[in-house]
Amino acid sequence: MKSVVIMDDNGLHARPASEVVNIASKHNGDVYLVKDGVKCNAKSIMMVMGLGILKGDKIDIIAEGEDKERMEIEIVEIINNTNNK
Amino acid sequence: MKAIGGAEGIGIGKAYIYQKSEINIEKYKTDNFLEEIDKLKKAQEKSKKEIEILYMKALSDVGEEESQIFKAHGMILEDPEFIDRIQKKIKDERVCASWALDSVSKDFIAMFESMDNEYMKERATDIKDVSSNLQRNILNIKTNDISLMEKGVIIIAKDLSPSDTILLDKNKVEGFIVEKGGKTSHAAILARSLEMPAIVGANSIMNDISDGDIIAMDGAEGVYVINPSSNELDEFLENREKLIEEKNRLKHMIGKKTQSLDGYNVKVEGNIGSLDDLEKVIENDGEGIGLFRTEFLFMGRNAMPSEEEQFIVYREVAEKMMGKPVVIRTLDVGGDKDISYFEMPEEMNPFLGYRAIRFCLKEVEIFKVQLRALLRAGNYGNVKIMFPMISSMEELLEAKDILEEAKEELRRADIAFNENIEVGIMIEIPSAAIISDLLAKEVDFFSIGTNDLMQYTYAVDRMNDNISSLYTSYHPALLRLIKTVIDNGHKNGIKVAMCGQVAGEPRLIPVLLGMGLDEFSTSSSSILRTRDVINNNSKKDMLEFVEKLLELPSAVEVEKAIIKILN
Repeated sequence: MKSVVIMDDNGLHARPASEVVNIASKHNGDVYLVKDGVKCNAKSIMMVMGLGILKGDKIDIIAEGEDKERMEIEIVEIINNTNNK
Repeated sequence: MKAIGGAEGIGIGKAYIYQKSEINIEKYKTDNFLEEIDKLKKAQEKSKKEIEILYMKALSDVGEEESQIFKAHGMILEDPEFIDRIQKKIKDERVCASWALDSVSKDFIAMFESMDNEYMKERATDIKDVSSNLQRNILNIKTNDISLMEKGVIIIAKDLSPSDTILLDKNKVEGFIVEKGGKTSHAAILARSLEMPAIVGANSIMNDISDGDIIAMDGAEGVYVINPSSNELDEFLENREKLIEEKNRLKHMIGKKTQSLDGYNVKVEGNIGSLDDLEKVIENDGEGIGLFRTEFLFMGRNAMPSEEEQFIVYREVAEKMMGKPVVIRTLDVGGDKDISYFEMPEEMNPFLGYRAIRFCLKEVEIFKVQLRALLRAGNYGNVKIMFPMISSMEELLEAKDILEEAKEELRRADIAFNENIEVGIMIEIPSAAIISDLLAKEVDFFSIGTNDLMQYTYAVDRMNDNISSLYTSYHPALLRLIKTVIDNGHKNGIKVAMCGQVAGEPRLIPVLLGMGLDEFSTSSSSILRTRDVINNNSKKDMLEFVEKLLELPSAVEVEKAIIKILN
């Protein structure tokens, strides 16, 4: 499991959310994002957007199955890239 | 009538009322759920192709960033949770595909619309857009072709979805006004990228308007007039001309030298606080980065950014600026910013407290990490280091000593860096301005930070509504301090820049030019206008004016004198 804080003014908006869902969908196993104890399917753009992840929110990333570490790292990177813009 | 400005620009044209036909969803039951699920699948495929086309059009009309909306639409279309739920409904309740889709969409739309955040509320629009599209393909309904209309129209609608907006023909449409939505709605965002005037939140305009009415609209102000009188119309036409002229004139400034009427060259640069800002400075032909605020690297994290992380960012900026100067300010944070891992104490007076260079001089190891990263980045472009909040000679000398230590560490580790990197300071504290003649001997440049200099000099908190009128750029004390700093800098052979808001104020730019300011660093959106003002003024004439200006006793008189001479 990895954690990251969202720093972008727009929170996890269309573009990075799409990137996260895109990459999670390629994974051979479940991938979840957790915010405030609410768990969601990271392969579903509706669920991810539905979490309403805003600036300042801390989210956990949980992947299962083969290569789960790698998947978690890739998702953290997508978010960090947006944070650092 | 006044509503909310969505995208700037002035539009004049005939009203074209765009009504989306309501789709009637009939609920019927069927045991043949496999057929219904297949209908859904086929509709998905059709919709997928249509959205792909919208995406491609957006890509060519408005660019990558904004066209992502359609990528997101494509994803909603394939969303496992969304589609699974619809299929489940079809199967479990034995209802037709169109009703199942309608029902599930409504649930999701309600969920997003109930969110507190404006941005999230807007996402409901995305789902509506995709659902309509899908619904029409399930029911085989043709769409209202929004592209079939005559020239010179202003679209009036309850709302415009992203698909609607992207299909608007720029050659035929002069602008649009919608009843719903706010500044962050997709329609507004797309309008801005299309450079099409737009007004949002115009409640009940559908009631006030008929097809063919003449409309004049000002997208920036959110103001529109239905069937304007010829006087009103003239005013709008005039303003539109002015806007177009201004835009073209500014575009002409790109690639031009910044040179006063009497041939003095100065530099106009950009202030940045993120890599996004960097793109905008380059687009607006900034001649350098006059202030690179590094705080964003430290915020929103659990631990400090490593030397490597910092180096990568500084190097990127240096390289992208291709040899143009990049002035990077060392860490400027205090207890008011949320940097938990630094454990900064809560203070009564954070702006007079333990922050910025004071913090760095105590936390030497933290300071050195940033300095080493900057020194290394110095080999990839024209990087300069700038210390903030210097109030005394002691602080400056101490900071320089630590920089030397950092250099020695890199030498010993055999890591390449720029030995001769330029080092300067922000002049934002009155004591530094007063001893600037002495400080000038110890640095390679000054950069005047007027925002804080004003606060500290007049003892005014600009956030305090009760006294905000005291925070004025026309105060004689500020102008005298600026002149002193520039003169002291020049006497000691160094250049003086300014990175505060004042550097971009059209009325003060000529005064600063006259005083001899060498570099004007502003926000990216002000770069071209700043160059425009400089190129239209004579430094010598302004210098003469400045000598008299500095004798005036009050901000009010200073402002009056400036307005007079600029007219």
